[in-house]
Amino acid sequence: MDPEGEDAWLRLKQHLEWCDHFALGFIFTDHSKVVHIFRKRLAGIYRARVTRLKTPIPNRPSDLSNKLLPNLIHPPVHQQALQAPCWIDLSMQQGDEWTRARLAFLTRLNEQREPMRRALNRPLVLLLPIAERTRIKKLVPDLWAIRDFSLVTNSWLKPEPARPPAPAQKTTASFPLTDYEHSLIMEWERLQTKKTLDRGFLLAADRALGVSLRTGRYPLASRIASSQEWTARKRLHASGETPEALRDLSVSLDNVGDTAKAMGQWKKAEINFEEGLAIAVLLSGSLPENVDYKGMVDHFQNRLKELAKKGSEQNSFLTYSTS
Amino acid sequence: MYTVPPYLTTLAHNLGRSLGGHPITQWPNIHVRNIKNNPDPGGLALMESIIEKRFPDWQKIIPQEFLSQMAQSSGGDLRDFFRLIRECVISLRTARFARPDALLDKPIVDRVIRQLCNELLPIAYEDAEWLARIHKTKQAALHSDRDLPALARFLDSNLIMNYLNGEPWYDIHPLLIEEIKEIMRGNDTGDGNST
Repeated sequence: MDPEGEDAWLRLKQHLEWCDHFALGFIFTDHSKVVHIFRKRLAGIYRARVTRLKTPIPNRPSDLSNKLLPNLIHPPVHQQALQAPCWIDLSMQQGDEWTRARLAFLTRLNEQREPMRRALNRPLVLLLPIAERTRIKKLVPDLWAIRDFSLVTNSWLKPEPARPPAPAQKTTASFPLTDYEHSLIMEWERLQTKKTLDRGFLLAADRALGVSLRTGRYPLASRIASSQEWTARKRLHASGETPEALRDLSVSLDNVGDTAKAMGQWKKAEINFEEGLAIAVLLSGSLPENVDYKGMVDHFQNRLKELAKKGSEQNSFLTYSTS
Repeated sequence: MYTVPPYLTTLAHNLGRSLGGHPITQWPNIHVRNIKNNPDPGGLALMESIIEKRFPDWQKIIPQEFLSQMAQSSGGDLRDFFRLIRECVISLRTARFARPDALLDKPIVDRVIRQLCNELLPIAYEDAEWLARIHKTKQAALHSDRDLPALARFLDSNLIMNYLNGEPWYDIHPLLIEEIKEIMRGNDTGDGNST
């Protein structure tokens, strides 16, 4: 994204990081790719935490009022302590039926503001079409009055490069680290030296990995991701196939795959995503009532699809270049 | 304890008696400006003390002139006041990712105030006319009960604010004053249907 987009992202992230209870944010957007980047980055931040980013996407317009609304006002007991944001993207669905359902949902949410505020102990981010920005004050005045932040997106994407990245991409240039980011890397190094198998190491590695990927330090990211995977496997071996140990391993495989993908190592990425998918299927089958595990299956399937698309783009590029 | 919106007293006279006999107490905005739209030092000091009680070292982050500017821009509405402060602090923190010694400066404060102003816009010309009348008369300027829904909308959207010093009075949100003038000027020159 361009600097303006990055600035908006940092402010959004900061708002959410400083929320330790209910907070309400509005994002008005017609830029699906920008939203995708924001959501992906947020999901990355919350991936290794106990509570992941919730992105309930209703399948049908009627689900907004019949399923999503009751879930926000009366969240299940096990969700009431969760603090990861709830990200409800209502900006992209087209058609009169969706528009009517969205307006009805928002109106009822406005009426139920106080019950929701009492029950929902985490930030709620509502994404709405830009066209609704001008009438949101009239539509949901009670919600609008208690907003913590609002954001209007723009075309913040930099133009796509004309050529796909070379297979063995080497990045030498990287962004400077802030003191805080540096401390995250140092903490990973400290724990790495201790050879600890504590779960805290996985979390420290996840934070350091996020920094190294974000700042373009790919070789470092690769070492961090490998150390996380190694530790997750050791923990699994020690504790047996508990859901937590399996989930931790799948997170680390996702990270190894992500890093490999960023470095253009498609095959390595594919192997790790496939193993992650196998674990997700196993967890989802064993504990079907846990929607998080179903989300994991979807996640890995999407990763593999993206990879296949990248691979085919590159093959066609190579075929074109050598013909 | 019942809390009711300020326009309900116009719709239902003697509401206090119907709800149990006690008079309705007004909870106005903090008096950061007087009826002539000049800053009120007493109200501004009160806004400062609200921040002081939460964070005594606030001047290390927000220079006093900026806090005063934000208090005035909020019109004494505490939610807007805290939104401005929160957005400034977050903008400063993100600025410090690139420049660790960055301080809160005028461009940041102006951008944040502009953002709040944008959230109040756009204003239809018909609304602008009424808002201009409120700004001039400091009264709700209701022609009839039929206008009440529009007045309720103004109050719900924070386009107008109510104050109390002796008699209750209304004024438009301070960030709208220039916008309304602009709309009215645009119409005088024949190009302002709405903004």
